[in-house]
Amino acid sequence: MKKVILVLVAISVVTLALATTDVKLGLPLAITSAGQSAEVETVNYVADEVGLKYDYCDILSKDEFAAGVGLADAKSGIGKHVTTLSPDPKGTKFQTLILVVGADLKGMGASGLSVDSEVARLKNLIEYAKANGIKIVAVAIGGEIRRGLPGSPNEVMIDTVIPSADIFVFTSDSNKDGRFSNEAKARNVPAVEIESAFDLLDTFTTIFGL
Amino acid sequence: MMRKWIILAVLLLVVLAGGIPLYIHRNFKEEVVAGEGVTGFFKLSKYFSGIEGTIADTDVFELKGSEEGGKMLIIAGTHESEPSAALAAFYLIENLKVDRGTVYIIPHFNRSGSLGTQPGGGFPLYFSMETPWGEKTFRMGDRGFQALDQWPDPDVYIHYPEGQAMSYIDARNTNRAWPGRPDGLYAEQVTYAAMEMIKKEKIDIVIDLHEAEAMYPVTNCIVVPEKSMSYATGASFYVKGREKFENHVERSPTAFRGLSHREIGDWSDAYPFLLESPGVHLDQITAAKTPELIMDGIDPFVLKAAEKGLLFVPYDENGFSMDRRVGQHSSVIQEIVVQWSKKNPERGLTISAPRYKEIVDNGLGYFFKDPSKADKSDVYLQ
Repeated sequence: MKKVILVLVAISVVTLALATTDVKLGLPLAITSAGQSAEVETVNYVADEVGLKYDYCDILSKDEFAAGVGLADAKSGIGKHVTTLSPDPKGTKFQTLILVVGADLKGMGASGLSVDSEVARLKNLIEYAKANGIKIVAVAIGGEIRRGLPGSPNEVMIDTVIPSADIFVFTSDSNKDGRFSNEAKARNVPAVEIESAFDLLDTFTTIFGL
Repeated sequence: MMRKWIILAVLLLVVLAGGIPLYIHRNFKEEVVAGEGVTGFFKLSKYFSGIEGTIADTDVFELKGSEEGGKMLIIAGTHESEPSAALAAFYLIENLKVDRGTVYIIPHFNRSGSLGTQPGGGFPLYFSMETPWGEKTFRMGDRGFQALDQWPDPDVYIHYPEGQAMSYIDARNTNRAWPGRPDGLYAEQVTYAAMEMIKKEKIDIVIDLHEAEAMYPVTNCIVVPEKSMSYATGASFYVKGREKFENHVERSPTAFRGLSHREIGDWSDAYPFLLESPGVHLDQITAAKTPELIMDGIDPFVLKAAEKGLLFVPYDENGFSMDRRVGQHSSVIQEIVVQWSKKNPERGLTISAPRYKEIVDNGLGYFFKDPSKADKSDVYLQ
C-alpha cells in the first residue's frame, strides 16, 4: 500500500511538473502580497537573485495596478512599500500579477488593513487582471504556519486568490491537504509544486523564460 | 521552650537546604576558553560607567579581523532561560574566525538572570553536555533579572521613552527595556549601556539570540524591523534552501515597544536581528523540566501536541537538540553576515565557524576546548 501511495505521489509530482513546461509568463510583472505576510519579501528576493525585474507594492491598489509600469509614481510611506524595477516605459500594461498568499495580522495592522479590507483590495486587483487578460500567479511558500482552519485569515486569503489564479506555485508543506494542487487540477490550470522556496530560483527562471 | 527550638531548627534546616544550592548556583562559574579569534575582553560599563561594579555590568569579547570592515554585536542571554543563546555565544567565542571586520560577543547580557532559575518554574539549576574531554556544565538561568537584584517590581511597568504600559513582570525583562536610560531600573541601564556601545562603536549589525516554545508561532525565525528585512529574507532563504532547516522571517511590530528588534533599529543606525530557535523545555505542557530535556528537547507531551498539529515547528521523537538549536544560530548569523556584506561591501565582514550540519554531525561538545589544558590566560569565568 505504501509503495502504491509513493508511486501515486511520484506520478502526481511529475504531472504537476509537466504542466509547467508549457507555461511562459510575460513581462512586465507586478508583485503584491495577499495577506501581508513576509513571504512576499522572499519572492522579491528571488526575483532579484535571478534578475527578474518587477514593480512591487505590498498594498498595491487597483488604480496603481491599472496605471501599469511605474505604479502611477506610487511612493513608499508608513505601512506602504514600493519598488519599481521594470525596464519598460511608464504606463506599460502589466502582463503578469504575482499574488503571494499568507496572512499576517502584524503585517496587515502595520499597513492599516483588516482581513476584510485586504480581501476587498485583492478582489479589485483580480477583477482588473481578469478584465484585462493579465495572468495571475498564486504563490504559497509559507508552509504550515500560513495555513489554518476554514475561515481563518490564511484560508480567507487563499479562498480569495485561488479561484482566479492562472498558475499555482506552492511548496509541498503549504499543500499538505492538497488545497492548491486540487484546485489546479479541478480547473485544469498549471501548478508547480516545489520542495522549498529555494526552488523558486529555478521556477522563476523557467516560467519567465530567463 | 524545647518545642520552639525544634521548630526554629527545622525552619533553619529548610532555609539552608533550599538556600545553599541556590547560593552555590549563584556563584558557580562557567568556563569559556578564548579561541584564536578573540582579540580583546572588557566590561560593558566601558560605555556607561553607571553600571560599573553592579549586577548589570557584563563581559564583552572582541574578535577583530586583520582587515578593517563592518562591526557586529552578538547579544546572548537576554533571556537566560533560553540557553542555546549563551551556548552559541560560548561556541563562537571558542570557534569563530574573523578575517575582516569586528565581532563583539556578550554571552550573558542579563547576568543577573543567569545566576538563578525561574522561581516556581521547576527548572534544574544546571545542565551538562558531553565533550571529548569530559562533561561541561552550565548554569540554567531565568527569563528576567532576579528579584534578588532588582526589586520591588512596579505595579505597572511603563516603557521609557514611549510610555507604553506593560506587565509589572516586564520591568525585569531586558527585552522590554530597550533603548534604556541611565537612571532607570537595572534592566534599562544595561540596555542603555549597550545602546551607547552600538552608537559609539558604529555597530552595523546587532544579533539578539533567543529560544521560543514550539507551541508559539514566533520560533524558528528571524524577527526584524523593516530596515533589516531584506537581509533577514536572504539569510532565511539560504539556510532553509541549502542547509535544510526550517526558518522564516517575522516582522517586528511597530506598536510593541521595548524590544531589541524594534528599538535598536529605531534609535541607532544599526540593523537588528532577533533569532529564535525552538526550546521545547520552555513549553508549558512538558513533563519534568530535566537537564536532559534542556539538552535533547525530547518530550512525550510535546510529541503528542505535534501529532495533533499544535506546534509551529517540525517535531518528532528525536526532539530538538541543543546541537540543532546552536547549529541553527551559527548558520543564521553567518548567513546574515553574507547578505549584509553583499549589499554593503564597504562595511562587510568575513567570518567563519562550523555551521549547522557540522555541529549536528559532531555534537556541540566536540567544539568546546578543555579549560584544564588551555593557557590560563585564555580561560574566562562566566
